[in-house]
Amino acid sequence: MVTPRKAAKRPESGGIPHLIKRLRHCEHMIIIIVVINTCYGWERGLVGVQFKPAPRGVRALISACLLVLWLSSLVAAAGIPAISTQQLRDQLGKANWVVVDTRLNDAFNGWKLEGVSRGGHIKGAVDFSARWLKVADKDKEAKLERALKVKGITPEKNVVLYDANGKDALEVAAYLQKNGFKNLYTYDVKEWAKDSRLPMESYPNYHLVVPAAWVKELIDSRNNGKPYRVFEVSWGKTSKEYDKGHIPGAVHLNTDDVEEAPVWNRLSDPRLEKFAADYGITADTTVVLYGGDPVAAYRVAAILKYMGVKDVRVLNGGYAAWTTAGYEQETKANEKAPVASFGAKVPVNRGYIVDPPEAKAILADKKGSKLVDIRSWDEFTGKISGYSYITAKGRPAGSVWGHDLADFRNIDLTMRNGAEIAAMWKEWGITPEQRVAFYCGTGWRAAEVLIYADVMGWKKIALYDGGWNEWSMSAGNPVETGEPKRK
Amino acid sequence: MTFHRRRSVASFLLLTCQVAALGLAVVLQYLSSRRMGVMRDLVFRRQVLEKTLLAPQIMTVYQFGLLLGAVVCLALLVRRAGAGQREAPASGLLGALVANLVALGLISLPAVERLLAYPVFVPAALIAVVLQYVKLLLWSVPVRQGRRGAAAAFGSGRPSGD
Repeated sequence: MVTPRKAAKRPESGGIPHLIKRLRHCEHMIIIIVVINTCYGWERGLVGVQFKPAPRGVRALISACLLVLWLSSLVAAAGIPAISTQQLRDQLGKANWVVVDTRLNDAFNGWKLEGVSRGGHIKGAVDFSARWLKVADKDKEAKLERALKVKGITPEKNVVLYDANGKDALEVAAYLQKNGFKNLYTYDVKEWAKDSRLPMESYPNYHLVVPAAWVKELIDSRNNGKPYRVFEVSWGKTSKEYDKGHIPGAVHLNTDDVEEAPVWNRLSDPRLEKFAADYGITADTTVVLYGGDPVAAYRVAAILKYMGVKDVRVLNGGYAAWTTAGYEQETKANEKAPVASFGAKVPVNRGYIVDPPEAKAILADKKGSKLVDIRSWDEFTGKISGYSYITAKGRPAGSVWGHDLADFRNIDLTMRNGAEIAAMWKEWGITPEQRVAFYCGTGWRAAEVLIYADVMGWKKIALYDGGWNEWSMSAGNPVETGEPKRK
Repeated sequence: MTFHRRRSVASFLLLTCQVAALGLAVVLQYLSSRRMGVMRDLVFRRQVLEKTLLAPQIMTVYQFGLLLGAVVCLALLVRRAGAGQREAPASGLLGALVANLVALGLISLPAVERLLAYPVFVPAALIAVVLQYVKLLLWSVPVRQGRRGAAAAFGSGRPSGD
């Protein structure tokens, strides 16, 4: 273990000033309120229920225990040494060191947030966002443990946790300490970003998936006079989630307005033009899409990009990203604001979505192209169809497994680390030099993965819209089942 | 349990089945606007059944059969009323007449045909009519002869005449 003799002193780390600064954070105020209430009890509780204060001795004991627990977590986290920029440079890339970005996923992807002068992450760093620790998920602990393992964050390594706000790294440090990690260091990434000679990387098209702060700024500035629309995307003429609360100004977009039975493909090109005009979308409109589950937003995003909308954005992490950021929510429903026409001949980006002839051509080109299955392993091998309305089981003969959608998301529904995605695909012979078309059952899961591939800068990508549903409808299409032979 | 009570219980069970069949159709119609999977499944089922059980020729057969059933029930009712008999199974005949007419409406009305759960409404309506005929048969067995007739038809396990 390296002892940082000349460790850079972060003004925020260590000592009573830092502890006092942390008192401002809400979660610690809540603990103080609990302690006070435990001592003095409640005179009136909920309707019809009255809580009586506990006996004095018990109250004192409980308060003392809570205070000790809280202080110990702060002290333990505050005691983590900082590492200097030079030392970090020296250790970067070594097998027994791992550098971890604890900021928001958006910052890791490339967005300049929290005053950092350059966007993106330190080259070679992995991500483990402090926000993941706060997600409400019934399998949270198992998922976080799996993430640590996959990213190579293990107790025997030296772990450098970096952030830009002095808080995220300490939160992750406290979590890691509880899981037996000892060799922890913190680092302020602003120092690294200031020096342009130090390598940072971001995804080529990180701007496609946006943080909540960007959407807030867009709405507040009204996009500086340029046209924009915000849509909450989900299935149905009405949406309970939309009614409960949505981004101010957002309009509900029903996915049935972009696709049709029985294949559930996108509408025909003339009908897509009409759909866009009805929803007030032109080729020059900045369109922001989001949903409770972001998959519907990605589905529409892929279709809008195919149509030729130049500026399509999806809120990274879905509506939860907006509510977690603490921004205002609106419950009043907003009406569509139609425009005269879409302003371009659909499709402008013809190759972004493909149909059976192109899918067959991709399958025929075994070396240069891949038809990638974004369904579960059981669906891919033909054990199940995955849908009550698709009876056939199996896959187009010659397609390869690209992993199920769950493998592309972090626990907070944000986009998974691009390097990990690329590694998953490389295992199945899927590389960016190839022409790659993604498909699933009816084009939803594959659309989300398509946008992620776009974010990562993959160029020759497409969505095979009809997916297994359309492919299996035609008796002449070759089909296979069972586990494929891995090369 | 007396024959009459057994008959009542059986009748109640048949009514429950009728309500369940139609209730299922109503529930699925309700869910079709709230769950995408339910909606897509109903669309798929309609697509499949339109080639078989819901084919236009088969639907004509259903409509003809229901109309015929309604006419027969009406004729029997009128005959009973004319002969001055007011006992069961006049109520059974009336129930069968109503069931036939309701089923005919459910499978023929354009408003119902447009519903997503139409492929469920049609079999539910036909099941309800068939069960109504079963109830009619049940109530057509006279009570006085019931004990002996019931023992033969329903197997009470008791010696007759007690």
